[in-house]
Amino acid sequence: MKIKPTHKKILRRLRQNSRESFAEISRATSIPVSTVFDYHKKLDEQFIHKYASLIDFRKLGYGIRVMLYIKAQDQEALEEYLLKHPNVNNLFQVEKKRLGCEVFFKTLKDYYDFLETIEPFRIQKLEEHDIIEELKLEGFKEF
Amino acid sequence: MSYFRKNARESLTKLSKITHIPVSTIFDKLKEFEGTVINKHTCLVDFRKLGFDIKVHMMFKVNKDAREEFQNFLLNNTRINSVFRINNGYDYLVEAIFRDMKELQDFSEKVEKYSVEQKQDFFVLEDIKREDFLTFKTGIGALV
Repeated sequence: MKIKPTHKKILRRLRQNSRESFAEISRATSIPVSTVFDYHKKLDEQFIHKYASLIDFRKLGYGIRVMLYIKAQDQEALEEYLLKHPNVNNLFQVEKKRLGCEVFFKTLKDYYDFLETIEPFRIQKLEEHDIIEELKLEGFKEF
Repeated sequence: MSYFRKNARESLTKLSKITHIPVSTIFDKLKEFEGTVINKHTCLVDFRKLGFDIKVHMMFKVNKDAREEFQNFLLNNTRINSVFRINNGYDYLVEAIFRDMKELQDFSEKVEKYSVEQKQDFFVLEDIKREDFLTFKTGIGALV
């Protein structure tokens, strides 16, 4: 499906607030509600990966948030492990044969325990950056 | 909240059926969370399918005096999806999305105007898992 300007308008509204109703989107964009319904279905099938509520996990007690870039000898097994790990929020395959991984933990001890669990995957390089403050998240809408 | 992490567009009626929590309670809780812990409800898009082939994680170390100006540049730049303040050798971690290498080059040239002391890029080849934390059933207990 080729994306049209009308699709983009709807997608922008959903990026801003994915809980907006079809009627609200219709009112805000002046697109008939039936068109919003049809186009939403197509967008959902082809362009939207998932709808998610973005949460301030710090307020829930998860004060440790770290971005890791990891290169391991057992990369595939590590990827599988991180994919299933409940504290891994985002996981990316990045260049230089590394994995990018964002994790949340309640305490530093929990985080260090996690680091110990990835040691058996024969870590070659590990770059850690604590996320001190989130300034913008999923703000891209100029498509 | 775990269910909203999994599908933020889920209807309250359906959630009520799944969780056996009255719709009115879910509605009240959602309103309460929206003013406190929920920053926003969004949809995660496959930008490649929209014609944006390049996704990069960029880290910048910036001279202290230029930090505020650089931060404003990042926050207002239309190609930036996410911005974080980080430590361990860098000040900012950015996720940027570009149509092609030309757009990336244009962005890099703009960055050169600021006092960037160090920069590191990681091109994202594939998203394996996105916004997955506390989407499991085990997460619900932690949230209550």
